[in-house]
Formats: sequence, structure tokens, C-alpha cells
Amino acid sequence: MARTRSTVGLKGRTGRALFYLIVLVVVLYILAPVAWMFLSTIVYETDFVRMSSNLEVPKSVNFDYYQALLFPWLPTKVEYGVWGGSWFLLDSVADTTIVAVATAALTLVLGSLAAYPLARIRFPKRYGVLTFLVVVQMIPGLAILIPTFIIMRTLNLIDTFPGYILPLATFFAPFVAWMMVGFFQSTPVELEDQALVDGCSRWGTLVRIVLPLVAPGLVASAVWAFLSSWGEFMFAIVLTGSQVTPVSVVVALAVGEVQARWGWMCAQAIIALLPPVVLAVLLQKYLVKGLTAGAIKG
Amino acid sequence: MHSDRASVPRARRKRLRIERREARFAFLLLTPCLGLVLALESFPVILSFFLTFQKVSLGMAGMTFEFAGLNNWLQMFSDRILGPILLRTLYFTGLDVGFSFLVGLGIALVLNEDFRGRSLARVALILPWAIPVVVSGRMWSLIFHSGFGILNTLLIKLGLINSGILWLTDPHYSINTVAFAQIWTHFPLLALFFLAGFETIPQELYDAAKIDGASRWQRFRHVTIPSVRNIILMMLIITTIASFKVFDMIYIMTMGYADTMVWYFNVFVQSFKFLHFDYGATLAYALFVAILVLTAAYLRLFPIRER
Repeated sequence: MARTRSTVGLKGRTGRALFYLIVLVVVLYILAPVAWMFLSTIVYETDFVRMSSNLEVPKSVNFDYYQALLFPWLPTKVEYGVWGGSWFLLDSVADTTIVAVATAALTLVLGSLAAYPLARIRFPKRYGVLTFLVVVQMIPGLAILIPTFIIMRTLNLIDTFPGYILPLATFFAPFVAWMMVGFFQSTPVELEDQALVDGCSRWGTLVRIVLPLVAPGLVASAVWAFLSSWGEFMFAIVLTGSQVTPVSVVVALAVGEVQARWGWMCAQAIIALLPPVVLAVLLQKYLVKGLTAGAIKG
Repeated sequence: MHSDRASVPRARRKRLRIERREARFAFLLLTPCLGLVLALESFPVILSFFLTFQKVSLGMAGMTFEFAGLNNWLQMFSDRILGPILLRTLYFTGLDVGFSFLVGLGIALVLNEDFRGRSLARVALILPWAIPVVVSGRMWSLIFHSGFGILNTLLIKLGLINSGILWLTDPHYSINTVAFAQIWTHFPLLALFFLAGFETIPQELYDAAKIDGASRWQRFRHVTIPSVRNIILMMLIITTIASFKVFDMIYIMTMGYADTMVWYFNVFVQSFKFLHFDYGATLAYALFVAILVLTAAYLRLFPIRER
């Protein structure tokens, strides 16, 4: 297949120049806002306000906000305000890592195990189960969250890891199952048949033959689930509190201070965006393939 | 022949046994996922349905439930603030879906070209999608800040406006500002889908169209668009549903003030700010039913055809 199917088709020198101008606009649209937020974190707030309101060049560039947030034991020039030099951001990053890794792992196991029989085995009610998994994804999260909050409160599971991770993983599992069905269907069935004929058990075939074949799909699912749970906010704001504190909640609630500390707040936001962005960029090939696989089959 | 005929019943019995074993294996693999989904999604949704007929009171002893008949539903139909909220929700969804599609399609067309730095640009494309929405919301709040925001500063320096616009507090602008930020988080997925779709279009189609004398626009209109028809149809409904459920962005940017309250955020405010779990559940249920009806009608009107 040809690598390029020119859909815009700007030819000639001026066409080419115009095209690169368009590319520049696109890249600026994507990157400039992020770069601007980053800029706000490496200058002091007074400098930033002058820069932002009057385009003045800041007096100094420093990483004091990051140092204060990431190395709270070091002496710092930054005034903390109500946070009082605490470890809250590191705690919160640790909490979020636990939540995201556990949720991704659980989602992956639940989703891919369920997807295999849906893709391969003829059993009664197969289409019923597939339809069910699609309809479940249309339930608005809040319709689940209101009773879930009541249930978790009754079980005393509010503000605990299981009380947040279990609903979250369950919420994400149907999508991963749906995505994995496509990956299982695209593996050649002959290999499995051969393994079964050779006396390999159903489990053995699944674990040793099929799962390695769908490894790209597993990576895509795991990354998707990690990203989704890392940034998840709605369930977090209802089901967590001071014991389990996802970074999304820290970022969202940071405004509640006396003065808006924009540099400080944005430094938190930048730290919160790094893990998912780094993962997405590194594993982009798998992620994009996983997300778009269903659409291309049509 | 003779021995074959004799073994038929046995073969069938064996097949039945294998089928039963296969079904058991399928059941075993499905149980963890379906079990959790039934317990933590289906059960709450059913509970939610019952909540819509209850009066939930919060007291010293905890929550008490009381049968309330159709009160919550009647309240919904007589709630005067819901009219404007519904219209605003539709307006917001129209903006978000419309522009996400335009921007997504446009950027996909650009990134489909062969140029130096193309793969880097494609990597950048995933950023707005991968960044947590609360972070994007904080970022756009910084840019749209009415006091010292860079956008107002640039517009004033360029002479386009005389004084700063209250992007997030002036009801004329606020919902559009939130939609702008939301579009920034929604367009990458659409662009990625369009790009994936473009990859599947054979070059021969374009060559043939060119030989037949089709103009650039005609090739776009009659080759590119029909080839990604299924993607457009599927993403249209997915993006619409996602847009109905805008939450994070509004929470961060406006909290629903300055005429930015939409249906879904109102569900949250009713449930977790005013603690009217019964009424909140009713509003959430109404949205769920609306989404189901809309999706069913949509799929009937525009069936996703096999190519």
C-alpha cells in the first residue's frame, strides 16, 4: 500500500510553504497551551502575572515550585500557604499510582478473559452477552455513582482503595472486553486448533498460544486503562477523601486557597500530566492501534 | 461406510460433550467480568431506578428511605430550571461535536500528507487526549483568566478588543469557553480515527478518480468521505454521548456558574451538593433513557453498513 494518499494536495513551492504554515498552526494549537502552562511553573507568580498581562520578560527562571512539591524535605523559598510544607503531592502521586496500576491490572484480567470466549467459543447467549457489554457502556457514570456511594458508605468503604478501585475497574472492563474481542478475532484460529489437537488444554492454549499473539492488544488495553484511571475525577471526588487522594482531586481542589497560586497549582498539574503523557507517547503505536482497530473493521 | 454410519450417534454425543465443555470454559472465563459488572453496575442501576421512587432523607441516624411514588419524576417535569439546562446541553453538545469533527478531520487531512516531522506531529496529536481533563481545564483557565490571562492580553495588544473579556464569568461567553476547552480534549481521538480510516483507502481509488477528471474537492467528497463513512457514523454517536456527560471540564472551569450548568453537571450538583440522591438519580435515569433511545433511533436511521 502506498504510504501517502494525498488528501490535501498542495503542490509547488508556495503550496508547500502554505502547507508548512498550516502544520505550524496545528502544532501550536496542540503544544502552545501546554508550553504556556509549563512557563507559568518555572517563574515566580509575580513575574508570571506581569508576563501574562503585559508581555514582560520574567526576571528569573527557576524550578522552585517543582523542588518544593517533589522534594518537600529540602529547604525552599516557596511559601506554602495552608499546605504548610507537607508531603501531600507525593502521597497523592503514590496513591494515584496504586489506583492506576491496580485498576489497569484488574481491568485487563477481567476484560481479556471475558473477551476470549466472546470472540472464539460458540455458546448459548453469546450475542446477548455482547449486547449487554455494549449497553452497560452507555450507562451514565452518575447513575451508577449515586447508588455506589450509598453502598460504599454502608460498607464503610468510602475513602479506601478497594472502595474506589473496584467500581472503577468494573466501569472500564466492558470497554476493554469489547476492544479485546477484536484482537482475539484477528488471530489465526488454526494455531489454537493445532495446539488443542496436540493435547494442549483449553487454558494452556489460551495462556501459551493466544495471549502472546494478542500482546499488542493487551498493551493497548493496559495503557488505556492506566490513562483513564490516572486522570479519573468524577468517581474520585465522590468515593475518595483524605486517605486515598488521587492527583486529579488535588489539582481540582487547589483553587480553594485564599489567593490563587497559579504557578504552584500549575506545577501540580504538570506533575499530574507527566505519567500518562509519557506512557501515551512511548506506547502510542499500540494505543492508537487498539483504539482504532474496531473502527477500521467497520 | 458401514462403520461410519454406526458411529454417528457416538460422534454426536461426543460433539455434544465437547460443546458442553466449551460452554463451561466460556462461562468460567466470563464469570469474573460479568459478576463484577452485575454487582457493581447492573445492581446499582437497578437500585438507582428504585431511588427515583423514593424520598431519601439524611439524618443523624444515616439515610432513611420512604416510598414517594412518582414525586421525583413529577418534580423533574415541573422543574423550571431544567428547560434552559436542556437547551444549553444541546447547544454545548452541538458545539463540541461539530467543532471536534471539523478540527479532527482537518488535522487528520494535514497529518495524512507526507512531510518532514510528520511522525513527530502525530505523537503530539495524542497529547490533548492523554492529558487528564482536570489538568487541561486548569490550563485553559490560566489562558482564559479575565484578569491577567494571556488571551486577553494578546487580543488587547492586537487591538481587537479594548478591555479584557470575562471569558469564564460573563454568561455570553462562559459556555463557549468551556466548549472550546472541551473540543481541545475531544478532537485528537477523532483525528486518530480519521487517520486510521484514511490508511485503508487504496491509492487506486484516487488514481482512478483522477483519470476520470475528478477535481480535488470531488475526490475528497466522493472518495475520502464515503470511505470513512462508518467511522463518521460511529464516532458521531460516541462523541455525542461523551459530550452529554461533560463533567470534569465544568467542575474545574466554572462549577456550573455563569450559565454553564448542563444536565449531567446538574445531576451531580443535585446529588452530591444538595444531597438529593433521589432527585439526582431521577435526572440521571432520564439521561440514560434518552441516550438509549437516541442510540437506538440513530442506529436505525444510519445503520453501520459492511463495506
